Amino acid sequence: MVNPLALVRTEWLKLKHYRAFWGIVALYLLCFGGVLAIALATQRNFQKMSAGMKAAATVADNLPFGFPAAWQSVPYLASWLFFIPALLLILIVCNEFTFRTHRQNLIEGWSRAGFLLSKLFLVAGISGFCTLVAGIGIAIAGVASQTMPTRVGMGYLGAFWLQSWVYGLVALMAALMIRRAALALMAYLAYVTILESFLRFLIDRQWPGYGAYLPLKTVNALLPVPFLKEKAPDVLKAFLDVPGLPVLLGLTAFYSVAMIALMAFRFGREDL
Amino acid sequence: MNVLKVQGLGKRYGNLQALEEVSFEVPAGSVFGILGPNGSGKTTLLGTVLEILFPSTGRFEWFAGKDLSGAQQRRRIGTLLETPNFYPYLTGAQNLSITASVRGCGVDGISQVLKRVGLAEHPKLPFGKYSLGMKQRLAIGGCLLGEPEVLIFDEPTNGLDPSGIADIRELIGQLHKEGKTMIVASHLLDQVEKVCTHVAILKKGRLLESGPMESVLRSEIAIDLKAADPRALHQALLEFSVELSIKEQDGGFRVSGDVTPEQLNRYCFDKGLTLTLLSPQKRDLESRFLEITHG
Repeated sequence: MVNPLALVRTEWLKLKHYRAFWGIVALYLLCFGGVLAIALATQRNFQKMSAGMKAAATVADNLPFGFPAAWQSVPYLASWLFFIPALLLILIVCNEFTFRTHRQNLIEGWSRAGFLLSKLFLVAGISGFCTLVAGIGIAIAGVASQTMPTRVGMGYLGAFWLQSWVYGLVALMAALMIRRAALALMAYLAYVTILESFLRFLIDRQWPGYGAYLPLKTVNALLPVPFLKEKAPDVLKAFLDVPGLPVLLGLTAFYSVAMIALMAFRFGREDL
Repeated sequence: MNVLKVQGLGKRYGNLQALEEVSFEVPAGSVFGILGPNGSGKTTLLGTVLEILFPSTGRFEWFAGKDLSGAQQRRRIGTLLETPNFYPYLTGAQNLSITASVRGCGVDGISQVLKRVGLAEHPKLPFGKYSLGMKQRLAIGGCLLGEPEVLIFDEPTNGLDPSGIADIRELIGQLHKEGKTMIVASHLLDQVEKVCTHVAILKKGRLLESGPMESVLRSEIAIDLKAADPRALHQALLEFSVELSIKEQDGGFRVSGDVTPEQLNRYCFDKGLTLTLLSPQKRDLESRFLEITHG
């Protein structure tokens, strides 16, 4: 039987003295803090500009980084930084193959499923950490905007966790399949930035609308763009229109299971 | 009781038959040497029984088929396979704490193990800065952690200087005395001969011979004989029930064939011949190995 606690403890032992791990964590915090600071400064400037104007009251009631909008806008900003935890994941997993410690872990008593599970815990842990940071960011933004805390919109933080989980799974899959950190990172970035959009374009040409059900499009739809929708032109609205929540959650679960099954199939059947 | 039973194990990589119909048994408490030239399939064999590689044919069974999963079985085996694999940014003790965590044993034994393999003096040095010999010692230390019942050493003296080699040989001897079963793969024949009780010889993936070291070395042993009456001795040897190769030397004879010194002694005694010399010429493993692998 696999002992999940032992897997988590072992992963922690591997990471806690790894300087690159702490360096990337610090980089993530720095980038997130920077993005949030810029966003709050922009909001403040906007408030100053609107002061004394007719729209001042409307602006004050609809601050993009005040409660309740912060539940959506802060995680949305944080989602632009997914490439940093992805880099961390790819580095950690590819290290196992470079150092051949994946083989050693198995020789010393882990099963193949146990090894894969340890990496899934890593994805869950990193996405949990990102969610925690986003949560702290929401609190800071809400307080800085001088708005009253509310639970309305809190579900977006859960959507952010799902989003970071799926992005993490894509990174893990790139690392497990490619095994060289530089190539895996390139493949990840190419898929996230271009390839899935291109795939969506191809699918939509053949089956209009179905391109929105690709893995990242699905989780991105859980946390839609918070700033544009009301003022977006019709074409953009169509672009932003998403399938219903149950469909999105179902598809997210399906893609998670499919990616895990694919990794288990590959790792479980190959000579190491 | 056998610790490991291998039956008809085969491994194919495309057109290359890396292992072919390999069968043998490793008795509990033995030091089992796996010999073979480079590329003979030693590491493939060990990788297969450790489930790192999937066999193409055949099966194997650890611990007499006790109801344990493969991972549970491997936790009872300390293994150094091919090269020492550790995290280069961690110290020896930190790496061994990961080994202990994977194996599910306590970390209490780490300092003792490091002392035993002579690495206690470098507590802050990361593995990446270790010399080849130090890496090998750490890997052997990792094998000892948690007191596993079985130890597998694949080329354990790689990268070690002569004193390091002697240390490892002594360590293997000590572990054998402690009752550990050891499987040692090596192409260094004198090392194997000095420490092993059993041996299996592989060539191009095929098992050429296996069994207790004595029986492998003594099959077709050469025996030097002398008697007061050399002519009568010669005649008697010619009349022996099994065909023997007989060479005259130093006023006596060197005999080889499918016969033991005991059989010859009894035979000569029955013929009324008193032997003045009966000396089995034990071959060293190297000559036996060359004979088998080139035969």
